[in-house]
Amino acid sequence: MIGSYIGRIRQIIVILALQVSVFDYIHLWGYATPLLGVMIVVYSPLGENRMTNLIMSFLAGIVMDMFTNSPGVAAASMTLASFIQHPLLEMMVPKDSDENMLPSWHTMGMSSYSAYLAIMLVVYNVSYFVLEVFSFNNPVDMLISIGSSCVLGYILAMSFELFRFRKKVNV
Amino acid sequence: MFVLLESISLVLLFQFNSYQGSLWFTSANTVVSTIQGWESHVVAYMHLGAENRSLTERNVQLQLQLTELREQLREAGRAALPAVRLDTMRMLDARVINNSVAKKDNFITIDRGAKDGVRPEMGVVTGTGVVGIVSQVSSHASIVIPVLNSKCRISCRLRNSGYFGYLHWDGGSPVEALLNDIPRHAHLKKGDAVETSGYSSSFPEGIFVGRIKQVRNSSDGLSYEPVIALSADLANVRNVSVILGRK
Repeated sequence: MIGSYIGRIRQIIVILALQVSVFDYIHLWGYATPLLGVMIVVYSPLGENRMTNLIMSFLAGIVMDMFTNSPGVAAASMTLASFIQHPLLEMMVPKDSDENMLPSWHTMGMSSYSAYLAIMLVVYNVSYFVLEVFSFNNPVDMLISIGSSCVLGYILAMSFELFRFRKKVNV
Repeated sequence: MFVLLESISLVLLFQFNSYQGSLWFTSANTVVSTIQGWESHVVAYMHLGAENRSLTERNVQLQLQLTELREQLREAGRAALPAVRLDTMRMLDARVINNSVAKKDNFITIDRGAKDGVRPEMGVVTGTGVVGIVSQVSSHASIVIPVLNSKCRISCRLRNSGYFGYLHWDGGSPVEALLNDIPRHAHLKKGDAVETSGYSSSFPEGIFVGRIKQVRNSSDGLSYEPVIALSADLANVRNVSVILGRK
């Protein structure tokens, strides 16, 4: 039990560190920025307490905001992602799934996990860019940013999954 | 709980810039600025070679310019000197520990704060031109609103004719900004130099900002809104100086 908590905390720290020190500096063609802090929410186990998940996501969002000088933007988006994560996951997995199931390609199957990941990324990216830009002076630019960031985030997240999947098979 | 946390986030979002307490939630807080300081050390170390080459090249260019200017000054007499020079100002060197150029509202974090004498509204420059204005200050770090931020307005003038307007940025290319409110009767041409006007307390007059890249009309057609090619490369700025005031 304690081991799983430590593992989860370590996972959160690694994702936060990657986001603030690597992904925040990627701006492909001036538009696409992988916002993968949301993977903290995506990787939340099915049985994790929803209240704990909400608070933890909010705090992780606050930390990301500190590094980008955009107080509230990631925090609000992470909280929203956390709010929809549990019902979405319940819809995507079989009823008899283990209550501590970790969402992954390996445990959910390719199609369910792809859809789950895509929905989470779209919700988070839309919320993030709308709040960041707020005024819709240039909706086309905003849509390009949302679309390209979702695609880039999806490709990177699925690449992580290949690594996680391979690790499971080797074990 | 969801509504409460969303409300806290939105309060933070809307009060940023107008509420000093929000400083805690930015990169100027001690923990974040320390981490970013380490990070910028690592990145700066990796770029040392390129930085060195650029400095050497710049040094040669400056030496050539210095010789040329000395010659011109000797010919023109002392009247050619600008009204205010940066060596008459108290300057504080600072290192950039966080920077962005791809967002609509970019920010720069520097490793100097209130304990070093930095105050909000002070101007920040680099060797090649204007960078921005200090917005929020903690004890050991400060947040600068650079030219590449929609909230930044810097009063500037055309060096040749003296017509003035304000420099602003509305997103897009990080090497260009716009100069608003230049009257229709002003004579502009591509390549004209733009410098600070000295009408604000942040910058003395005569600091180079950039050159006119394209002359175009403002959206209402009542004035010119030339596109300025910024002289400072804000995407690559590592060391800056804060203008503390006159000596």
